[in-house]
Order: sequence, then structure tokens, then C-alpha cells
Amino acid sequence: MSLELDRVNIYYSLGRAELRAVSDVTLNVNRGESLGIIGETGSGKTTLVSSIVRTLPENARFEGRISLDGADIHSMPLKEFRKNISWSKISIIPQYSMNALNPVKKIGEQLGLIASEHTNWSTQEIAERIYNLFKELGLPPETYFKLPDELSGGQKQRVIIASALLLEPDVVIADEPTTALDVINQAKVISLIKRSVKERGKTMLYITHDIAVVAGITDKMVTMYAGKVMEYGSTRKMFREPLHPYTMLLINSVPDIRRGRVKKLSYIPGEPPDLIKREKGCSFAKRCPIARDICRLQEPELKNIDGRLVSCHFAEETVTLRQG
Amino acid sequence: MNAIRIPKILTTPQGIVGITVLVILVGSVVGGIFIVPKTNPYAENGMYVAAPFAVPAWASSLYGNLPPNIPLPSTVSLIEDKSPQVLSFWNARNISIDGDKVVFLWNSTLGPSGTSFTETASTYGNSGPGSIELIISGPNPINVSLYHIFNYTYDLPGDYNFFIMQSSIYFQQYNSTINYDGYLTNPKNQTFWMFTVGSAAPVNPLASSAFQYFGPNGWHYVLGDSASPIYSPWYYTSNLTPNETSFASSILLHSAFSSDGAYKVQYQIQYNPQSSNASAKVFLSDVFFKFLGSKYGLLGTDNNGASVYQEYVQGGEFDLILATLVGLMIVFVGAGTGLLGGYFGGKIDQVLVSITDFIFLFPALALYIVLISVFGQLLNLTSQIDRTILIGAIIIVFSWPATGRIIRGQTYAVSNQQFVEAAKALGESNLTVIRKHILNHIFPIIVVQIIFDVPAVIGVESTLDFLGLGITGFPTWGNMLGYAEHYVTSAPHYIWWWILPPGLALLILGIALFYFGESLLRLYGIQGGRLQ
Amino acid sequence: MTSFLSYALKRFIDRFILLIGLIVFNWLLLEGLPEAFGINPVVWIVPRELSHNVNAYATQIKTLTVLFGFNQPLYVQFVRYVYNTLTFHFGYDFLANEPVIVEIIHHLPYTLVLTIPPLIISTFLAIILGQIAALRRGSAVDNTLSNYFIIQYNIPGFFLSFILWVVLIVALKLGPISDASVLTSWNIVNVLKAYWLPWIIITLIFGFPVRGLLMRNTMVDILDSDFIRYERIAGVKEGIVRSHARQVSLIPVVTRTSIDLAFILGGIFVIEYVFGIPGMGYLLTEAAVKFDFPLLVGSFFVLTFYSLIVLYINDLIYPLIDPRLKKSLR
Repeated sequence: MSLELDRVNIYYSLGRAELRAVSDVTLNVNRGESLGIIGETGSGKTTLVSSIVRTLPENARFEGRISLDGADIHSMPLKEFRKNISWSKISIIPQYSMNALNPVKKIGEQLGLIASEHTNWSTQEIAERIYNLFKELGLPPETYFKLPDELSGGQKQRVIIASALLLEPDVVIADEPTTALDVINQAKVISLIKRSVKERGKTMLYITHDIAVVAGITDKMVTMYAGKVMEYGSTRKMFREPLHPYTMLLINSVPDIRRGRVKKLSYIPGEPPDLIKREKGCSFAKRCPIARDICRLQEPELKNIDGRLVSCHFAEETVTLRQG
Repeated sequence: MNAIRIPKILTTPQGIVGITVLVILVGSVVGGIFIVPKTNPYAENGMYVAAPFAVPAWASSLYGNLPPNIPLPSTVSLIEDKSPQVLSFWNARNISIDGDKVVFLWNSTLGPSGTSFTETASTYGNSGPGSIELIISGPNPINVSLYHIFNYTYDLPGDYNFFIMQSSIYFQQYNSTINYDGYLTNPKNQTFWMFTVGSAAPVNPLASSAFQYFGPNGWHYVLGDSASPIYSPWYYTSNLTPNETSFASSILLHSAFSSDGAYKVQYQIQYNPQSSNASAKVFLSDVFFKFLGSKYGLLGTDNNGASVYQEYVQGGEFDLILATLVGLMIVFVGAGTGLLGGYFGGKIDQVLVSITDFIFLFPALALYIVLISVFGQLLNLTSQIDRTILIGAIIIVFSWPATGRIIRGQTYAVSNQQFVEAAKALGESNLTVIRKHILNHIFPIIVVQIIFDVPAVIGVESTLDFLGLGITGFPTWGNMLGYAEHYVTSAPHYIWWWILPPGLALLILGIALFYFGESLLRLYGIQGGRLQ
Repeated sequence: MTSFLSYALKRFIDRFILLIGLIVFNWLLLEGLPEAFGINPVVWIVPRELSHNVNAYATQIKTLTVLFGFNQPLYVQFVRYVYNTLTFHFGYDFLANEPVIVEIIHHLPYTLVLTIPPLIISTFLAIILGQIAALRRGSAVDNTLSNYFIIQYNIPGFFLSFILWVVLIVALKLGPISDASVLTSWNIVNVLKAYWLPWIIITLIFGFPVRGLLMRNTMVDILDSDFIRYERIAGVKEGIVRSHARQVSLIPVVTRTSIDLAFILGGIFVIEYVFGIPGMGYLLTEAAVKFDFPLLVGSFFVLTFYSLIVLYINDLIYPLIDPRLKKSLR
């Protein structure tokens, strides 16, 4: 049981120009594993998720293969995908959780409708499952009969998590679920997701721009820049010993109080790249602190170092930089 | 304030179409202002440039070979300028017969004055020195004629054509009397006696009811026409049955103009000497005949024979000026209060909201009708100008709060933005903040509000005029349609030339301004137009 | 339920204050302002034309001034006016020789029959067309419909009524020139004969384009909204997703329609005028032309009072239409 992305390329046509939002991304998430996808705005992470749940806009062009347990889920008819894969195999906790619920329908009705679209369960059965999930997620049972506007932000978030778990899917995608929340609620939701999703043994994809979030909850992570994989490997290793300068800079921009010393925070200067202009060389070169001439001329290939995939000409040398 | 760069609007299709249509529409009004006379088409001196319900000249061939206006002399300036050429036009020739002698002269100093008559666009008179002078002397009665023959080669007249025959006369008599008659003779050689005036009773006793006594030594104006033949001797000599008398106008017109051919218009002076050394001097001016035709100008005529194009131009000029002024006032007051309310909040804000709530309670048109009636009576407003001001004022008073509310909302949104907070924190005065930061941001919205308010004002004002409750004394697009409404069931061809110009102008103006405003909004990235 | 009652009461008080404001406004127009301008209101109530000579008129005015109590202090006059208005005693129409309320009751049904059916039809039509446009956003159908709504909105209602009357009634003779001649009795054939075209026109002009565009724009927004996107991702069938989108988009349209309902009686003057339908608009226009002030202010009050009542009913119905408002009741 695994989710595989094989050489995925996604292009957007914008009038005459074409923009390559995702370039040659190959990822593999095994059952029960969790993967964090980290990148700034425009890194292609959201496009990647859209291609998995098949909500790419009409002007997008997809190349490659996405398969779940070996079955190609991107080329099957959309209707079949929505009926058999959506929610029952792959569900999503979207970044717009606050607004994801129909404002004029009762919560229970909405979740019940989703369940009845994919299963033959009786109304009673569905209701019971919803109650159980609510209980597990700390929602009062009355929530079932309430309208979204009658719930607090945190409660709505929980309803959405409950909805994602309702049909016991194999894969749960959390697409920046905490963007709209304040810091305290962020922490709550993250721990809730960790508890309810990960500990159920679900395969999880956690998409975020905040590298700190994934530290505690994912087994593997991938940093993306300009639609390309920069570094891909074990979360623990990448945090301890980032090989790509981008990963390193992302980690350095996070305040770390655990180690008991105040680290000098850094930020990454410059702006995300313009994806329409195809430039030679490494796409991160413009903002990279260790970029040399070769970086601007030649695009680095993914190298396997220490069980990790890194796309940098000087992956071996970054260790030095880190220490210095 | 460089907020508005109009040329940029030309990048949106709606903007281009809107502006082009607007320019054409406003151009048709502004251009017309220089062409049409300044007279008021709703007053008598603006009426009867042609027969009522004359069709536009360019479209007349659709309806057959309609008669045009036939004025004699054919150039009106010949009359107005008091040109000596009228002598030859009316075939004035010196005669000597049976010891009588008739001499025609052009007198350039004596001309009509002091006569009273109602002027319409088709009559002329009392216009200064210059007249035909006849000196008649001799012992025998003699009839002296001025005449002109014209050809009528068109479809026979319809219900609305008519003709007039006019002249001014001044005479001095020495042992004689003078009578002055007008005749029209048709190709069938039937003669129609149009007027008889003078210092002696007419020879035909039947015509004496129509006879007007004119004494010597004074200017008199004479008019005979087929519109009111009851004042012409023909009426009394034509043996109309009692049933026919009410249709006399039609009978006169249609029996006079019953075939194509040569028509003779004749002005006859009857000289009746009472002694052998008798003589008389007669001065004639404004000698003029006109057949009012069924085709006229660019847009034909209305029920009074007034030029519809003239009404369209004057109506458009009035509507556009009024709507612009009223629109500007609405936005000025509305934007002022809206800015203050949105920026300072508090009392001003509450007052603004309460006023709009109260005003939104009323059905707008009913409210306007009631207020115009009550205040029209209360202030005893009679002149059209006063009425216009009243209507404008009422529209302003009840329209600004809506605009104020929109501006208030926008101001409120802008004043809560960080750059405004920053400016305030930097110690800039409220006035400076409003002027430099807020006004700059909401200026496009203010401009668009004006653009949206102008057609709204025209719409309300036109509706009132259409119902006959607004302006009635001079043309507006609304009252043109309102008056046309009374005649459309009976007039020929549904008077499309009268209905369509003001109607389409109102329609196009509204649509063009709307698209123009919308494209301005889009240009400034403001979401949601009036309809959202 | 108690929360609803207190809400209903609160809105009732708000609306009642507006009613008092309205009565004060009407009193000012009919009696207060004339007196402030030194005019005896009786002169406005009793038209000059009714008396043969100046002396008889003067005597009449004197008698009626005492009879109507215009010689009493202003506050007494005001209180009597408020009482009379609240009991629908709007005075006597000396021109028609009838109490004003009798005339209003006589004319009101014509307007109700004229306005209510097209309001219903146009609402359904606007919803259907708006939905079609929204579902085919950006297509030729959408462009045509949207531009049609915009153009329809900007056509002056009186011109459209007039031109359709000229073309269909006067030229093509598809109906009676003046509906008053047909509407002598209320039977279905007569009503259809007289009203078919006015109904069509009111359907088209009265709020229809606004509601259509409102439906279209709201539904476009809703179809783009997160909850619709979520339902789609979650595999809810497209038909159900669309019906949910429609359901939410209807809320502002229904709200708008109920506001239109409040003002429709005062919005159809021109149609009654053009078609010769003896309704409220006709009555008010005639009263204004003849300076028949009791009738003018009386029918104005009835029109406004009607909108006030409908607006209050709207207040009560909103929470039922929009479940979201339930929260605000608490």
C-alpha cells in the first residue's frame, strides 16, 4: 500500500506563455508513513496536492503518473475517481477549513451526505460513526445538529478533520490546515492531526510552508523550490543535517528554543522565482548564499547522499557551511 | 490628483463603445444647439414650421410623394429682409386703363408697425420698414391684383396640411374706398375667397360676416387660413350644410387642393372712387402665402407643427445640463457627508444611516410626485424655471443619502487601512489625511458615482415629465414622450419620428453611461458595480 | 422562541417609530407646512372650482375651518390628524365627492392584481436565467444574459412601457387602448385582456434584471466558494453540489424580492398611466394633476404604510430564509 508519484510535471498555460509549476517530481510514500512537503508560495506544493486529489484547474496540463497501490489514479475517469477514491481512499483537510462547510446545512447532514455518496452504510451507522469521531476529537454531540456559523473556528477545524477520517481512508492529505489559525490553535490542531491521523496508521501528506510544523509529525519530508524537489529524505536526518542550502536556510529561519541557546535567526533574501522565464542552471541560484558560476549555468541532478536525494552541486560541502 | 486618466479607459471594449456612443449622442445635441432656432417649440412662435405630424424629409418617400412646405415667396428672407424683389415675385405691373392709373413702387421707409398678431413660425410680420406702394388714381372702380402661380405636383394633402395667406396693409384714401381680398384659385378654376377687409362693406352680402373693417392711415395685419375657415368669406359663400360646417377646414383644404396643377394665389385691391379726382395710396407688406407640407427637416414635426429636432436638441440640452448639475450636487453633498461619516464615525455616521433608512421607506416616485405638488403649491411656483429648481432640489435632497452611504462605506474601508493609520500616527492632521490619502483612494468611486447618478436623475426627471407632473412649458425628452403619448393613437405612422429620438436617447444614454462607469470601476479594480 | 419574540418586538418598535415619522411627515405636507406658510389647509382641501362665486367659497371655507378644527391649536390638530390617519380617515375628496379611503379601496385591487403576478413570475424567471448564466460562466449564453440584464436595467421603464404599448396595442391592436374600458368587472377574460401586456412589462422592468444579475453573480461567487469546492473534492455528486449552490444563492435574491414587494405598489405609475389602469398610481398621478391634496397625501400614506408592513413581515421572515441569521436572534 503506497502512494507513488512518478516524474510528475504540471504546466499552466497563461495565454501565450506556459508556466511549469511542478518539474519532474518523484515521491513515494509507504503505508503508514507520513511525508511533509515544504515550500514557499509558488513552490508547486499546492499544485502537487491538486493533482493528487484531481482539482487541477482547466488550464493545467499534467504529465507523469500518480498511483495508489499500483493503480493509476490520475488517468482513471474523474467520475470513478470521485466515487471510489475520493474520501474513501484519499481524503483531504484543506487549508480553507474555516469556510469548507455549507453555511445553510447542519453539520451532521453534510457529513452524512458525503458518507452516503461513497458507502452503503445506513443512516444510523453513519450517524454513529460521526458521533464517535466527534467524541474522539473532543466535539460535543450537539455539533451534529448545528450550523457552521454556530461553531467556533477550532470546532470547524475538528469537524473537517472528522470528515476526512469519516470513511477511514488510506491516505489523508493535510494541506496547510493551520494557515488560518493563531499560534495556540495551530499547536492544538497539529497535535490533533498527529494523534488522530498518524496514530491510526494512516498514510499522511502534510503540506506546509512552515518547516517547524513537520518536525514532530512526519517521517519523511521534501523541500520544494520552483516546482522542483530540492531535498527529500528522512525528517530527522534533514533537520539534523540538511544537505541542501535551501533546507538549511528554512531550518535556520525557525526559532529553536529547545536547545537552550538563542540561535541567530536568518531569513532567505530575495523573492521566489518567476516560473515563466526558463533560466539555465539551478533555480535557487539567485538566492543561494553559496552559489557559484556553475550553479547559474548547469542544473544540478538529484544525488543520493546518505539515503537522501539532494539537488545541489555542492551538497557535500554544505556540511562545512553549516558548521562555519 | 492624477487619479483619472481617461485614455486608459479606451483599453476596455465597454469603455470604447460607451464613450463612442456618448460622444455621438451628446454631439447630436450640442451640434444641434448651433443649428436650431432659440425659439421655444412649445410656445406659439415655435409652432407650425410645417403641418402637424409632418414626417422627416429623409423618410418621406416611404409614404408617397408628400407635399413639402410651399412658401410664397419661396425664400422667406425675401419677406423678412423687405426686398424690392417681391414686386416682381407678385407680378406687380403698372397699368393704365379707362382713365385710371396704377403705379407700383417700392417704398423703403414705410413698413408695418403697431399691428398686433400672434406670431407662429409660419407667419411673419411687423418687421420694419419696406413695403409695396400702390398709387391708384382715376374716376372708375378698378381691381388691382398681385398674384403668383405655383405648381402643385404632389400627393393631395392629408388631414393635417393647411395653408395660410397673410399680408399687412396700410392705406390712404382720397374720395375713395379700398377693399382688400385674398383668393386661391385651383387648377379646376375654382376660386376660394380667403379674406376680405377694407373701408367699405363687401359687395357680396354673404361674406359680410367675415368682413373686417380697416380704417385708413394705420397698419393692419390680415390672415386667412384653412385651419380656421370660419373667419374666411369662403365659409359664408360656399353653402355648407349644417353638418358640414364642423368639417369646414377639411372641406376647404380638400376642395381647394383636389388636383395637381397650377395654383394661383391672388391679393386683390378694390378701388372704389367716389369722385372724379379720387385717388388712393396702398402699402402692402408681409405678403406671404404658405402651404404647410407633410415632410419637414431631420425629425419632422409634432402635433403643433413644431420641429421635433428642435425639441430633441433643446430637451437634450436641458436634460443633460440639469442631470449633470443635480448629479454633481448629489455627489458633492453625498461624498462630503460620506467622507466625514466614514472617517470620523460617530454622530455624523448615525445621522447619515438614520436619514437613509427613513428615505428608503418611501416609494421614490410617489414621494417626488407628492413633494412637487405640495411645494409647487406652497411656494406658489408658476414659472418653469422655479419648477425646475424645485424638482432638482427635491431630487438632490432625497438622493444624496444613497450616494453618501456608498462613499461612507468606501471611506470606512480605506480609513482602516494601515497607511492611513500610519499617516495619523505620524501626526498628520485629519484634513491632510482625508485630502492626501482617503480622497485619493475614493476619487474614482466619486467620479463613477457621478456617472451613475446622471442617468438616474434623467430617468426620474423624465418620468415626472412624462406623467405631466414635471416640466411642461419647454421641451425635455420626458415631456416630448409624454405629449406624444396623447397623439400616438390618432396620429399618422405612430409618430415614430417624435417618439424614437427622445426615447432612444434616454435609453442609450443610460446604457452607455452604465458601461462607461462599470469599465471605470474595473479599471480601478473596484469590485462590484451598481448592480452587485 | 422567546428570542424570536423579543426580536420581533424590537423590529416592531423600530418600524413603529418609522410609522410615526411618516405620519408627522404627511401632516407637515398636508397641514403643518401650509399653516406655517400662512395658508389655511382648508383651501387645499376644498378646491376653488367647486363654488360659483367668491363669497360662497369664503363662507364655505369659514364653515369648514371650524368643522375640521383648523381654528384650534396646532397640537390639537396634530393629535387629531394622527388619530384619523391611524384609523384610516384620510378626509373627504370634494372633487370626487367621496371619502378618500373609499376611493383608495376602490383603486387598490387594480394595482394588486397588476403587480403581484408579475413579481412572482419575474422572480422565478430571474432565478432560472441567473442560474443558467452562472453555470455557463464566461460562455456566450452568460454574456448575452448578463448584458441583457444590464441593458434591461438601464432602459427607462416608462419608455419601455410606452413603446411596447404603441407597438403591440396601438399598432398591432393586441389589446384595448385603455384598460379601464375593459376592467369594468372582475372576470378572468377581462383581466387577461387588460393585464397581459402590463404583466409582461412589469415582469421585465420591475427589479427583474437586478434579481437576475444578483442570482448570477451570487451563484458565480458561490460556485467558486470553498464549501462547494470541498463538496466536490469530497465526491458529492455534481447535481447535489449545484443544488446546494443554488440554495445558498437564492437567499439574497429572495431578500431582494421581498424588498421589491414592499415598493412595487409605488413603482408602477407609468404603466397604469400608459395603459389606463385605474390603480393606485393612476389615482396618485390624477390627484397630483388636480391638486387634490387629501387624496394625494392619503394614497401616498397607504402606499408607504403598505411598504412598512411588508418590510416588517420581511424582518420576521429573514431568519427563516437564512438559517445563518438564527444566530443573530440570540
